[in-house]
Amino acid sequence: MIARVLVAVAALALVACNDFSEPWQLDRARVLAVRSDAPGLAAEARGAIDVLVADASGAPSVVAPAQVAAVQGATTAVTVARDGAGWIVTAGDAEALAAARTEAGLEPDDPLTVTIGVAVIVDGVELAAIKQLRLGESLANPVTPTIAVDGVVPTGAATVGPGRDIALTVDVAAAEELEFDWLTSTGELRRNETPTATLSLAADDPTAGHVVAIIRSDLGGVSWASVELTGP
Amino acid sequence: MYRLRPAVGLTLALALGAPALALAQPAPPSAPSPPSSPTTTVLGVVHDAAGRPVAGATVRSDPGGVTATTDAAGQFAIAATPGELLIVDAPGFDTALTAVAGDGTVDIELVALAAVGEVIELTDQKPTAVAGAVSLSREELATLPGSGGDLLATLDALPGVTEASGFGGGQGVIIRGSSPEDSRILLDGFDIPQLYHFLNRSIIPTRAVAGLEYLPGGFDVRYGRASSGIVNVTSRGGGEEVEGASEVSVIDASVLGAGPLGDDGNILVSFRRSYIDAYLPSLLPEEVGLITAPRYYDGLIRADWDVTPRLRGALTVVGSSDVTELVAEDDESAEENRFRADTKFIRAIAAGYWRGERGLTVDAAASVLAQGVSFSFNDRYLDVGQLSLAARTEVSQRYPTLGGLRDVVLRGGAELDPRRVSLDLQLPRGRDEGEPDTGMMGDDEPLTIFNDTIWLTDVAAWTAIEAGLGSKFRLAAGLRVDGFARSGSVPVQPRGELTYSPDDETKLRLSAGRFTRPAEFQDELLVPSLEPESATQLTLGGERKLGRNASVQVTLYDTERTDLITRDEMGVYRNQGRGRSYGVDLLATYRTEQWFGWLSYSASRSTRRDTATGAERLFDYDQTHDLVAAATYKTKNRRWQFGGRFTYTSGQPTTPVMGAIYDSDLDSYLPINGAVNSERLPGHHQIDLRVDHFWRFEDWTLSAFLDVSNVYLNAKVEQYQYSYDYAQREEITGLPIVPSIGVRGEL
Repeated sequence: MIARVLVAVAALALVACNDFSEPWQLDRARVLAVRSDAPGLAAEARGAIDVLVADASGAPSVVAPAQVAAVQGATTAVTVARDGAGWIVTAGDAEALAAARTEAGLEPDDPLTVTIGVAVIVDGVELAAIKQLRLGESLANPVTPTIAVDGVVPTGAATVGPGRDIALTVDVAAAEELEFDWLTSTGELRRNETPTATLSLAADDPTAGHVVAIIRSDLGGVSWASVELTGP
Repeated sequence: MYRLRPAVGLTLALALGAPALALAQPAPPSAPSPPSSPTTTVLGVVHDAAGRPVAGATVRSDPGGVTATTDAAGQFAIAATPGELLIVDAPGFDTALTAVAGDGTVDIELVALAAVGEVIELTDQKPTAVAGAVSLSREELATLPGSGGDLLATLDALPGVTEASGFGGGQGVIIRGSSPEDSRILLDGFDIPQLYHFLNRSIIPTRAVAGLEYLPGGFDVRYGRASSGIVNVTSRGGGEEVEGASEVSVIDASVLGAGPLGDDGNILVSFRRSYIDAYLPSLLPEEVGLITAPRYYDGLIRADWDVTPRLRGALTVVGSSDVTELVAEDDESAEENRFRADTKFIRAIAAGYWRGERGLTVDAAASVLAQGVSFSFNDRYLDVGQLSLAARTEVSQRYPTLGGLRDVVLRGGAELDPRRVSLDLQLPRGRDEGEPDTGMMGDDEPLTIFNDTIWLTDVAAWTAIEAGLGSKFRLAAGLRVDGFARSGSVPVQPRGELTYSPDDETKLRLSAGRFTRPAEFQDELLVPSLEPESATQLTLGGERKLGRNASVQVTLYDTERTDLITRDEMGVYRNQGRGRSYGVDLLATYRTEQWFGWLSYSASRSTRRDTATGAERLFDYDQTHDLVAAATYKTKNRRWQFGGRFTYTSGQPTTPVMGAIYDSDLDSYLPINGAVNSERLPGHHQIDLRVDHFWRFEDWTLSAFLDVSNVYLNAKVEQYQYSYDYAQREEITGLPIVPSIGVRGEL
């Protein structure tokens, strides 16, 4: 009997190093989150699709997709259509959802899902992302968070100085049921997957930049907030 | 003259079962004389390995049937015709064969039974057991540059070996485009359950072995559960003199003692312990905490005793233990990552070797193995406990002539290996061969959970005949039947080899056969219905001695693989894969008192189909070119020894990532892979150097060595790793330079 020692590699991963960008670095055009309002659609309910992106400078913005399509799962149980500049996903009626559930071999209580593919244009580059929606049940996105910088909720841009650690906090209810993801275009983040992250600005780091907090629920809900940073 | 190659053939026979005796037999002598050939008086002398005459030995001509007995000076006279065989038997010695030469004189060396199992020596006169086989002595294993004196690291220099290393223990040797689990590494005939300590140090200390034999394919029916190659490691006992040695390197320290044990026995004891745990903590980043610093130790005891002049007993006990445990805080989640690895085993082998008169031999061995493997990484873990009681026996009978055939050997054997495996695991399914390896940890993969005990009982029986067909041809044919109780499969495996020897310096070998190996990995064991993988090997090889000091061998091979274990669309293992490996291996050696030269080159191509009708792709371990050129030089005063090795290998196939899609719910990226194994890692070349210096005193020798791998710091690219979004790619390289330095004292 031979033990496949895949976990041995994990030991190396603990001490391995590389020159890659960290996931929390806003240093290139990328998709940060795809949101459906709402993430769970009851029969015949509509969900508006928008996307949080960052451009090459690290500035976040919310944009409408260039293209949306149902790509996997119960694709026949939804319709995807343009709605002005945006896109709307509409769940089928109860009969259509039941048919899709039967086709997928699901029990009545099993979740019925559909995966949508989204394309956005950022800095002239097309980026692709996917998101899963639940059909036949009403779900909501988490409450939009508020970011506090060093314990203070800024009314505009937050003033920060170089060469110090800055506490970043989002105050949300039921934090233990949510996942947190902090991103920044300047400095270095620690504990960036917790409600309270630390932004370290070195003496030579730019004080102008952006901080983004994204909150996800385990049923596909997402919300976000961002703060612009500026020097003293 | 021909004779049984004493140390080589018999040591293998004893360690692996008597059939080696047959394979080690010399080719029949030159063409027998016609009946009308005149009978002459042949004068001869019989002596032992030290040149001392052997009195009272019986010499019998065949087919003439005339007998004679040696006198006190070991001399005899017998009536025989040129081309006849002379069969020599003497108490305490193994049977020897020689042919009557045209000049009517013969010189016969007998090998004492007590010497069996001691030292395998590679000599130019030694014919290989199968096409492409290589034997290495202990000295060669210890001093080949670049190996750091490590037993298994030397395998990298052998033709057809793609890689013989692995981190963390448990990995194997990749031979001729096969998977590591397709080949077996044996110690005294039984599997070594773990090959390596950390840092790729092999479990078995080089100085405790007699030698190593490498059979890259076409091996005898006595070997089973392998569809590619066999590596035989033979441990050694002590000699007539007391021997002691101690070696201290930057990684570990070892002691070895050997010598006689009573009047009829001998013993060797070896122990080694690492002390890298003493200084490694100071080399790691501060955020990495070592709870248990990496440490290993191993030990080997071998005792031999002569129960009677024809019966020898041997007991081998080998064991090893590796432990390491570390913890590091994750900057992002502020959680701790914990890793622990604990592997250990002990194997005891009791063997008896009986050498009867007139060519009858019986070998029998039993072995107990207890093994524990424990890995954990946070909530993922694997705990394996294995207990095995294995036994094997083989009987062979040799006839000078039988049914018109010359030098006939009949063999039969059987083995039984019941194993109780307790398996407790909670792991992601891991990466299979042919799947892209992006270097990511796959945190979101579903876990396989299993906790139960499995019985694996393997049985086998085999029979074979080897015979000379005239003076230049020799045929070996055998049949092996395995029984794998887990799957209920009973594969039948016919194998055969035809050898043509146009002269004493040249051999051509053609072999063909079927080989199987059962499911081995812990996740494969979860599917009892898996049949063994199968391979049909066809090998054509030639070997030729070039003068007294050089030899060259070339081997062509083609292996078709069926019933390979791959996953179907639902991720379930099935026997649905196909594969093919073909190529050429070349080995040239040059040896004098002062020089040892080694040139090994392999060119190969290995492909796989994941289903019978699937697209053909390169195998993960396909390696187009593998070149090793090495040389060792000893000064005349034997105080210095210098060695160097150059290696070039093609890069390993890899699957490129063409892009990625962001998964917003999981906050991760899904790679878009290119064609499987459609790209290669960069090729690699390096030079290794080694120097040994010896100070010889009256009763002991002190030596020091420096062995430096990769002297010009050309780090080998092991694989690519990708950034979180697959937009960036970097090379993961091996250690750029690996120095090994140490001192050794020997009594």
